Amino acid sequence: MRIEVSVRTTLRSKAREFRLDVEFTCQDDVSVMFGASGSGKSATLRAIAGLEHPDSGRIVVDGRVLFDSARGIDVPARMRSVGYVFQDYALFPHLTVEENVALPVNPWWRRRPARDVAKRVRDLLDIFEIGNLSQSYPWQISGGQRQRVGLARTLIRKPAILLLDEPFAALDPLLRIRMRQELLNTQWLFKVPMLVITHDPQDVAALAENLVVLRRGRVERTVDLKGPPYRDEKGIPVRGVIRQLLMETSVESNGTQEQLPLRAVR
Amino acid sequence: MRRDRLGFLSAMVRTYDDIVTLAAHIFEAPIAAILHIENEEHNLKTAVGVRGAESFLLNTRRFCDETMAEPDVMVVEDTVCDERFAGNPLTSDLKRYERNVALVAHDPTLGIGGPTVAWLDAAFGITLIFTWQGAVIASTLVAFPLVYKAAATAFEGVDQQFEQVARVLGKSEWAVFLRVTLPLAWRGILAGSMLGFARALGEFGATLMVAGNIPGRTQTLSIAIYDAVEAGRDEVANFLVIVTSVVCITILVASGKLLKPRYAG
Repeated sequence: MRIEVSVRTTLRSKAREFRLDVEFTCQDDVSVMFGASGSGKSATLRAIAGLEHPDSGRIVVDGRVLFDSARGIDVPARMRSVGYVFQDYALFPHLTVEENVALPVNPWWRRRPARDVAKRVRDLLDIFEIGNLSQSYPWQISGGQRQRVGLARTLIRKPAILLLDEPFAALDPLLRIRMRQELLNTQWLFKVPMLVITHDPQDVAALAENLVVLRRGRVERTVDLKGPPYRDEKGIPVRGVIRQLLMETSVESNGTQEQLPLRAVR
Repeated sequence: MRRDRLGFLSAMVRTYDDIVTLAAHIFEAPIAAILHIENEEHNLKTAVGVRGAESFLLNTRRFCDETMAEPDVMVVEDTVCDERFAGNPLTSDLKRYERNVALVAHDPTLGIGGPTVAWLDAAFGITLIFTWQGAVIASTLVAFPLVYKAAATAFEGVDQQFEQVARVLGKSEWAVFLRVTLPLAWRGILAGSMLGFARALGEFGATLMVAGNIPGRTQTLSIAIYDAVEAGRDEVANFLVIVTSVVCITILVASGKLLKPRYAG
């Protein structure tokens, strides 16, 4: 399993222009893209999912070309077979947990799970230990439970890769520790490669086998974290990566990083 | 698509009576008539203020020919002086007619309604003027902008993230609309439609113009109120005002409830 990403695009808001020029490859079970807010990691993830259309570049997931500006390929989001879990999970508020999870595989004319879908939904909810919540609505359940629903909804289609946008940002710190472990269990259980974006060094420490550090729209470095001694892309050993990241983020968050919403320039 | 107009028309004789009565009333005309012309044959459908249909038919031939040549409603300012009609017994008999203005239209809609209405009539034999269907269409057109705006706001109010996540989850645009956008927006759309209904209920001008004021047929609630006030029947007017007020307030309250945010918590 290998992901090749090379994305160039200009994002623009009223106040500023932002150049995104990101290129990296990864082939590990869990890769983490790390960067401060406004470093371009969300935009990169959205481009992989097909929610944004870069000016130029190439995106290949597991040998399948999803985007290639040179060849004019831009596979629509719904046909990319890419799982995307939004930061706040984006559960449909008008559907129950069961209906949320069933939606990706249900025929369009059905709201309730179809007969053959219902069993898959039930099994999946049981794996995530939320079978008892199947008739609840998203606003009735806790943050951790919502994340499980979001994961179940994404995994029911067996995506080729799972993209997670700040999966723990919406959770309180104590819950984060447990949910990180859960996420690793999920990865092991479903054998689905994950690309997680985060601005929390703790996530990097807990999850990353491969680290891509983004800074101001560019890849600053990539680090192999599968085991010490850690080495960067040039094979040079890196010590104390996590501590370094911690320091860098504290500096950047004191800096002048803007957090204005950005829009793709078409 | 052209229907057997003659059979269709004879089924509408009662409506024709209504139309000529109304037309004579509106234009304060001594004579109003509807003639049906087919294959050079003039056929008097109905008329008011006419004695002796035979001589009347004879004298209207000139009117009809001129009217047919005119694309719009033909208005003759002074029938005594106009060279086309000077000498015509229908217009020159000053004792019978105080006003020497002739207004003749060559379709049963009296020329009201413009090209679309005329086309509907010509192509399908659908007559909207002075029918309750006409009243419905008039009210719909008047209320439409209100409903449209409310629906647009409702659709815009749906968080795009939900549509995007549905797309990434493999749903087609149609499924995204039906399963995500519409369920999240329908309350706003319904509330807007109810406001539009309230607006249509109070509609006066367009209805009166298109559908007229024929009691029991095209008289709407608000026109009935106007009618009752004009006729000095205050207790009827009061009752009808209470009816509209109650209906409209109920609708406003209900639409306000619908527009309250739903998924809080």
